[in-house]
Amino acid sequence: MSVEILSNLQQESRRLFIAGSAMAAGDLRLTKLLPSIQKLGESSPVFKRLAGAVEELLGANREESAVKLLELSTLLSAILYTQGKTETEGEAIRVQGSGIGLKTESTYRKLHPFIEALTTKGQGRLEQIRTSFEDGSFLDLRALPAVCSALDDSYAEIPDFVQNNLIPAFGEAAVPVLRNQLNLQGGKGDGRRLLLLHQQLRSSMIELVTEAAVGGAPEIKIAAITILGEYPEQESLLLELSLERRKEVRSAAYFSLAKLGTSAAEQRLYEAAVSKDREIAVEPIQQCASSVLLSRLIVFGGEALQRYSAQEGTARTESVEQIATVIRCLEGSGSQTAQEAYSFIRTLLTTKGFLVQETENVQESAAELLLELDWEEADHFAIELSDNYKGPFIRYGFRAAFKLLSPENVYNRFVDVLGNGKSRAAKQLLMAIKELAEAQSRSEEEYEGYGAVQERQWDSRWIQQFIRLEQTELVSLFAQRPDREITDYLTAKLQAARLNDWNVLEILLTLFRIRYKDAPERFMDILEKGSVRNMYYLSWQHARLLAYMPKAYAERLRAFAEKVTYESVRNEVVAIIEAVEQKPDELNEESGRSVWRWIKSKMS
Amino acid sequence: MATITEAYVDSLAPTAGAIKNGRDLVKKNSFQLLNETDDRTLLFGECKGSGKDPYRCSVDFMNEGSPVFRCSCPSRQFPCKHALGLLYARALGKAFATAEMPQDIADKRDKAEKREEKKKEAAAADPGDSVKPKRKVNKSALVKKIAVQLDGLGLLEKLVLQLTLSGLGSVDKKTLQMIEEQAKQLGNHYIPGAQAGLREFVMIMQQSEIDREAVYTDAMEQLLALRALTKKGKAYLEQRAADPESPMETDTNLEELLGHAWQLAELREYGRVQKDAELLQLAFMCYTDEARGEFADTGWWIDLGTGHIRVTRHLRPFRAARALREEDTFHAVVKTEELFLYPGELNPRVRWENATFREPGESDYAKIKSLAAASFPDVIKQVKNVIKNPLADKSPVMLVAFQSIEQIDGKLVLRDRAGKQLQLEDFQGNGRTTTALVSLLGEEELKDQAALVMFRHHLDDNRLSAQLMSMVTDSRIIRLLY
Repeated sequence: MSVEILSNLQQESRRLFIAGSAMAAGDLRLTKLLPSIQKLGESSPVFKRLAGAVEELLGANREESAVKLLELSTLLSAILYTQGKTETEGEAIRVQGSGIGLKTESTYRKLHPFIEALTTKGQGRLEQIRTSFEDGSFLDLRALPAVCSALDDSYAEIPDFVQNNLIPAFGEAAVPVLRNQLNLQGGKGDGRRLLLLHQQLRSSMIELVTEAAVGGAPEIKIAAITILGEYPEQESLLLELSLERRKEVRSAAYFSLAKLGTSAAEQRLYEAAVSKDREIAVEPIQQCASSVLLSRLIVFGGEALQRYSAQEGTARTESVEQIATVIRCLEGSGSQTAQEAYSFIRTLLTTKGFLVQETENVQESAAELLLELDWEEADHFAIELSDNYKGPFIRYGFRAAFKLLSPENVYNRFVDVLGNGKSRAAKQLLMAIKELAEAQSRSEEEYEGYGAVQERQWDSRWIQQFIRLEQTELVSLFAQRPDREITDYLTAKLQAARLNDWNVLEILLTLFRIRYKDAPERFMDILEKGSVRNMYYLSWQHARLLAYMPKAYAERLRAFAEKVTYESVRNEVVAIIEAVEQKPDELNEESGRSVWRWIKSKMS
Repeated sequence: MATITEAYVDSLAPTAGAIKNGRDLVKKNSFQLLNETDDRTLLFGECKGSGKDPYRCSVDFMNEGSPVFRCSCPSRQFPCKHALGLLYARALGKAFATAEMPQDIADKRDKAEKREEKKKEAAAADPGDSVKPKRKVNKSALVKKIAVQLDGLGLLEKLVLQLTLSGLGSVDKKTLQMIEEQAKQLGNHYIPGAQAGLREFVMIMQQSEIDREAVYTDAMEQLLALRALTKKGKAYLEQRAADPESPMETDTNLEELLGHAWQLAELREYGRVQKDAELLQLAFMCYTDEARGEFADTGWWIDLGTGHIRVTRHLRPFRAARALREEDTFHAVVKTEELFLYPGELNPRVRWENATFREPGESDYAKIKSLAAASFPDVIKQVKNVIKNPLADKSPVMLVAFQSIEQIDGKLVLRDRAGKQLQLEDFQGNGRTTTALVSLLGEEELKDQAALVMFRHHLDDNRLSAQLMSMVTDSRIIRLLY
């Protein structure tokens, strides 16, 4: 009773504070309260004082009112502070401790910034979280709830780091918190929670997982389905889920079915591949890599080809799509069904009606697959293809031939294709040669610079063709020694060139590589007449070329260095020149690579 | 020399960055030389720096409680990372070779000794002064100062009355600007505490409009507090003006609220010194006080002798925050010969100048549990008696013994031996939810332990509740807040 009156009085005085004490004189509501306070005052001196204070306020004039209101409120709040309730009604349940036994010893200076980083927004948070992870101070009971909540952070790298590093470090201790925070109707963070819980609890939480897979929000459903892929007994549920309306859910179900690899699962994947779902079924089928499934798909591909030949218009496009799907499914694992795959592709690429412009993409991927099969018959067929239908197959035919035939045979078979280099087939062939040659030269110099193709593997006549067709890049790759024909061609290309031109550097490096005796002079020439002003960065090619220079050029090189505008570049150049001056004579006879190695050791 | 623990070195470091840098020096093996003297009072070494010559650093434990750090590096941080690294190297068990003390340090020691002697001599020569350390007070200056202070309080009082008269509802941007101006003026009246109180009022009123009602409640309380401060402050200052010889107020924190910064000499003069105290920190937190423009590194400690909860408050004004040492959680037991007690009620602020440290053990935890207040009603009574005073600290911290932790309607309560309750809650100002951590503790840790709690009264629904800050069990201190 008295507490109620006090709080009523508190309400009124608060109201007057807001309205202003000027309104207090004779205030109606306050006047109404007065008698009950006075009554309480008869038995209690405190209430008597309170009643007095109220009366004074009611009777005060405008000037005094403020003092009186403050006095009343001071008295009132002092009383109220002694009346605070501490007991709560209701049924009490003892709190069960989960006893995860984590320490609470990280100091404020370490823990506070970490928790701030996890719970606020702004820059530099991931950096802080990483630091705390590295010094171990994150492993603290007080950080755990914030760590688990950070799975919902909108800056994706933080939940990633939390999921992959922090929570696994907490291990089992994180389970009660994750479980508490898990909301099956939530978002992506809850999907992560489900995965993390499963890492700890494994099969003991399978019921929760199935519940999430059936009734959870999409993100959680997908996480749950991913987990189900580890449990063969969940096959029927997964089959059911693979019929869901949402595409993402179906896709996750296909992946999990692929992991299961049971016959029912394969059946379902087959159905998906031959239906509208083929786009999302391809990858799971590649992962599944079941030869039974692939054989069925090859049969289906064959049927599709027959339908293609019999059809018109859109129905025809559909068949092309189906064939494309089968080929994509075979990518990566086609070799285990090489025989069947080969005969399918053979039929496909010998069906005249299929070899039209609309299906070119499919033809190319089929040809690519042919080489991938790693099957001699298939390679022979690829060469055959390039004979008969030069078009898009020339590249694949060339690669197969390179594998199977002698260099001389390869040359004889393909040289006529080049013609004047303008035809589509010629371009395709040059591209195929370039691909192969570059791969070879790269492995040769271990990515350290420009190398050459392996001489034994190529017919020596190729380079003349390249010179004829002005394929400078290929000439550089194929040049092995300073033959007149080659050096004439390359030096001609150097005319009217600028130093920073990438092409020029390549040519110069090639000239040095094949030990063309004029190479230093040519380089010096270009340096001296070149626009040194533009040299604001010393590329590795420049550095190499400088290092290859013979001692005799030291003076001219120094003169050149004087003119370099940028100081940092100039310093680098001078350092190399100094090394060159100390170069032992016998090194000049060595290959470029060992010269460079010596210079490098000199400079470090 | 006392054993050097990592925690001890951490505590010497001025900032978190210095801890990391010091440790890194050891990790990267940057010390080319680690030496100590025969008597083990001096550690010295050489540390590789960016320059050609290594830095020569040393830590001198001549006076065990306050080591002297020296280093040839130009860093302004003190102690610098090299001196800290030297100590980490010792704490982490690196090998120190015994060597002669370098001459320059020996010279410095001599000089320091001579200084000490001189001091002693001076003290001996003038025994009158040391027996009666009362400092002379310039009376006329004091009277003048008090007059100015009274002037300021008068200004403040007028303002409070004016605000009450016109009502909080009428306070608009313009009024707040006017109050801000007034607060600036109060700066000339030697009452920085009162000035900050007024600033706080402005800040309360400037809070977002979302919860206007709560803002009014807070603003009203702040007005009441300002009113009480002007009233009591005036009475006190008038009395002192009339009798400048009368002692300063030390029973309550009135002087501090007006803005007086107590000096240790003053505290000693008023006998506010406790001999041979042992303290253990139970909680630590850094508050940002916008109204005063400073960070307050706050530690709550238990006096292992008396069971009182003491507070250390290290204030770092925003402007100087960079150059000042940041305090941190402290795990060791602090032993000090002289503990200075600031005037205050339940949780008086303390300070010490020299201290030694030791690791806490199970006997300390048992001691703390035995010191915890067993009866909630007694504690609550004590708390209420303090917070009813408008000038009191409204969130006192107490150590209570509880029997169990229970849940009623989703709310946590502590229950004492007699079955009485204390409702637990998370206060926004502390920025962390500690109730969520309770269910993660061990079953045993939830039964019959001691809890450090902070109280707060809610005027709106008339409840007194508490936030769990830390718990003390037989084997450890569980720090839930920080």
